[in-house]
Amino acid sequence: MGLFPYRAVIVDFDRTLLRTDKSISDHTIRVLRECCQSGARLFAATARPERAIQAYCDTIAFDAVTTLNGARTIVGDDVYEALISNRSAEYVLQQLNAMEGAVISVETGSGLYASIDIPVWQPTVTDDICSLAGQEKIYKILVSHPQIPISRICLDLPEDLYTTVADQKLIQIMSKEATKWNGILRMLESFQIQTEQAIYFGDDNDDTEPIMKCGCGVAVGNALPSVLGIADYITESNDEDGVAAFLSGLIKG
Amino acid sequence: MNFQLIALDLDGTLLNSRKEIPAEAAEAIRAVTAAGKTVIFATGRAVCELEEQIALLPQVRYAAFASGAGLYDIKEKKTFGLRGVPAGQAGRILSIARTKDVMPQIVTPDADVIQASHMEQLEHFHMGVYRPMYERAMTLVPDIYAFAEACHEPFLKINLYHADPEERFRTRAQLEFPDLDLVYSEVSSVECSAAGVSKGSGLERLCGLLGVPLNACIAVGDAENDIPMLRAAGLGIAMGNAPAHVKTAADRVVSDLDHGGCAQAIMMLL
Repeated sequence: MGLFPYRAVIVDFDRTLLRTDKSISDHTIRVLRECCQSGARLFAATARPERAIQAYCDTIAFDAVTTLNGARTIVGDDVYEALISNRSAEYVLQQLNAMEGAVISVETGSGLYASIDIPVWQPTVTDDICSLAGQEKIYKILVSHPQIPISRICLDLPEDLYTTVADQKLIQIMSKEATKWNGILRMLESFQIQTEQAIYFGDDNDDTEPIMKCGCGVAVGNALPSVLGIADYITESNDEDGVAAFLSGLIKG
Repeated sequence: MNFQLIALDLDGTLLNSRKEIPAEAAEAIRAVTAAGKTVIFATGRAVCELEEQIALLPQVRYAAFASGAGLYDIKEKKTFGLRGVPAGQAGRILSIARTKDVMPQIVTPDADVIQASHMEQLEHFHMGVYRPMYERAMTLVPDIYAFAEACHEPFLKINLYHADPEERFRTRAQLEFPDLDLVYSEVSSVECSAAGVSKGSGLERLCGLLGVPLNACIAVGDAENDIPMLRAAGLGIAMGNAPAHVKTAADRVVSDLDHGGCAQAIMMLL
């Protein structure tokens, strides 16, 4: 068994660990297992909600996951949440509701709600999206627009929230406390692992902070140019199993 | 053009001939950052040589150091995005250096290393003006070549300071190789980095991180190793003390390092 130089392997899901068709290769699963057998903890840091990674978690034994960009972090039986305040949620939803054509969805404690049906996501459709603010725990508000480029969507954002863009077409609105990095810190602290002992793999804007702050930050080959620019290493693309390729190189010896 | 960010070289640019930050430059940095602009360092120095400037200018959050081979988050005290010299090249560079009257300086992520006996001869290598900084920041080793063989860290930059300034032209020709970038700096040095690594690429990478388009950036410098960022930035400014070919590469020229040139450049952000 080789010596593995990191105590934690942390992976983003979409377009990093997963191929573009959302599958994960057997080879990748084997390599992740080898890292764990060498003593490393395995963590996921994803924008997805827990329900959307359940199938993968059944195959890969993650020691902890931070979901919804750090809004909900699960370490065994412990759950850490960074919610959008009711007041801020109401203010944002009212503005979005007034934008004609905006597609609004909300990740809540009781699942995903949306202003229209989005077949891929199977939300609960509601014509009173603003009322969620008082009724549910709100983790994330997502907005896209079929006609208007997202850079032109104007929102008066409350002080306690921030936005991030995913896939270059979806705005995600969250509490400032909800970041992948904060979720990662929780997970590392739970296992008493220092940030220098962690290796992180990512591809998009929300992976920038973990890539900069973990001991080793790796961008997959398909990552955004700005992410490639700040990574310590660049590996093959997600479709070429870049994460497995890089980790294999570390395990040998 | 609404400029948002300025990249400042240190030696010969922000720092005057006494290696101090002139008051008007410090004030200019305070003024522009208060107005929401971003100031970054783009220096050939290593992180350990930036302590004084970091302490004096808390408004500066990021630096591209080792001439773009590394990026530094000043607030988090963390390096990232390191781009070292390819391993095989390091050996080649140093074996050529051995044959000459040269002081090699090796920049690793954590330390800036020179040979102890060379520290006594800084003036011989035309680096006497850096003695105070070198005494503070350099890690000394008994034999730089033995150190290089034994060291497993990436070499972000290898600087070769020649006793004879003319010799550096020959050295550069000998070192020329597709996967290396070579620039002249100071009086007598050749600086070696990985191909594609320069203050220009460092600026580009930080701009990518900060979401600032390059054409909204100003870069200020005085030496050959600044040329890539003068070209990459929307506005490239050469200090009055820069040699002619650096001025030619710039869009504008300001006063020299002892006459407020850098402060003039910084105020162009407003």
